[in-house]
Amino acid sequence: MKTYTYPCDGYTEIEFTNRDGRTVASKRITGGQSKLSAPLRLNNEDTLAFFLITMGGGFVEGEHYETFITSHEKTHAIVASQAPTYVYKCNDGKTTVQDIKVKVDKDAVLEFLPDDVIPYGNSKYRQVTQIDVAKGASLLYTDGITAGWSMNHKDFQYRYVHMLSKISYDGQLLFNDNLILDPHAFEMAELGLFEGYRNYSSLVVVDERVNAKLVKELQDLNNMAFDGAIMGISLLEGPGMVVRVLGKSLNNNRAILYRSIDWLRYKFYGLPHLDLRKDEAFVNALNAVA
Amino acid sequence: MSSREGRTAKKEEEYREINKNLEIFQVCDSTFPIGTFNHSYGMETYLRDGIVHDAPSFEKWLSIYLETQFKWGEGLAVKLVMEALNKQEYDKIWQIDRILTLSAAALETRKGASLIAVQMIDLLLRLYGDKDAKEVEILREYRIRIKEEKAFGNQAIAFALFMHMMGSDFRQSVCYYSYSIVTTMVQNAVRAIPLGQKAGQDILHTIFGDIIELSSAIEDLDESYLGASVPGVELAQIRHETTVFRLFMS
Repeated sequence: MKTYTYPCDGYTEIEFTNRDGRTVASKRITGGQSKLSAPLRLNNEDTLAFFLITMGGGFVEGEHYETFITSHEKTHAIVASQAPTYVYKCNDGKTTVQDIKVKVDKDAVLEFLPDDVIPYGNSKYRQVTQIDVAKGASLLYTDGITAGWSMNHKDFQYRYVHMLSKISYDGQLLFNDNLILDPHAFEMAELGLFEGYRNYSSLVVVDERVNAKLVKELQDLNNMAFDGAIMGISLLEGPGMVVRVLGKSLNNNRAILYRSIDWLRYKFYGLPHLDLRKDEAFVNALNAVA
Repeated sequence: MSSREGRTAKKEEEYREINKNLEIFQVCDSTFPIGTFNHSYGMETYLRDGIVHDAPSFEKWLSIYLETQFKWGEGLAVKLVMEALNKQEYDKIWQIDRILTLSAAALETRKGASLIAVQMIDLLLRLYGDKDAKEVEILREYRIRIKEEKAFGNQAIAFALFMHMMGSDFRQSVCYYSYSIVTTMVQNAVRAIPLGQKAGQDILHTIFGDIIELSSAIEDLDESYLGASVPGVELAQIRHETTVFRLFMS
């Protein structure tokens, strides 16, 4: 594996290819502050999995990160992140940017499960994600945004966050997921915004097997009162659906989403419960919603 | 031109202006039968949760909805459609329809918008179908595209076409469109919360300033904002789907 220097501050490129029936990482390039983990050894399955890693723990003001993930035909891979995306303060008013481009070819499965973004006080962040899913491919994609972190331990001290995900299926736009958070213009804790919660997490599923019936099944599975969170599930304009959780803690949100992820993994791929994390807080949160 | 003829021409001009305004009033009126009274844009979820329960809490929801999803969505769409018409970039309208619709995470929101758009287009074509105007031609094409599932349909786009045909500018069009949405929502709130009719009129009256400010804000927005939303507004629309007791379709 070679590390190149790119004009951006952090660069990751990973490609998955099917070789003799096995998924291999046929291309792994990182540069700048971005790194990839070694293939992860998962406890209960042998799906190829990697963590995206940012050196120094987070994005510094004005930095530009680029991530490219390509899953070629008949592969199954998991790309997650080692830690949440920390976006550090931008005192000079420069926006920190991350561009993510993902391609999932026919009969490939990609579980792209990065953690939520944690913007620091005074930070400005723009994330543009383009995910192209071919007909017959399968995608699980998580994302999320939190109340952030600040020196004074107050919530929503960041300046601006714009997260845009354009997800296409079979060459046609399926979902234009566009979120703008502007704490200078809005009372973020109020009605319509975070409503007293601190984290907004999302799961987008694209797969030919997604239809109204499946959405109903998943809605029924989640037809319960979650402690410290509200959630909703809806069908997209095609074989896709969106699951959203607005909650009080990142781990609790993730645990709620992982109920759906595990259910879908079993239903779609015949795989067991996804066991990427070993941190105790998450396991406890998971057990609490199990 | 004699002074007498001048006066007549001036009068005719005046009549034309009044007539144009009356025609706009008709389309903006909450009784214009396009079915908007069936949709709460997520407000009903707050109603069921007990969060919207009186005039101040409804007003709070309404102003947040206007300043976020409405501003970046239908409000901006009115501007973009009028720009496309001015530049004669007619294919752009179908792109706006697509992005705007596919930005809604909630199925009911997309379905609702489409149902309203179809009724709006049909009614506009009924009233103006004979008129020899490019906008009428586009409305007709829009209707066909929706039928053939090449477009989804959105009321704001149909409204922008109508206002452009009436010779209105973007500012007027956004404000009038906002008015038509707000007046319907206030009527919905009067019915559902319920609020007194007078309290409803108070809310309507105080929101005019917000509407004008909104149109200024939209003036500065480009296409990258189109369809943006915020967590609570969006999740309430998604959660409406599983709300058991309901008065509204979305």
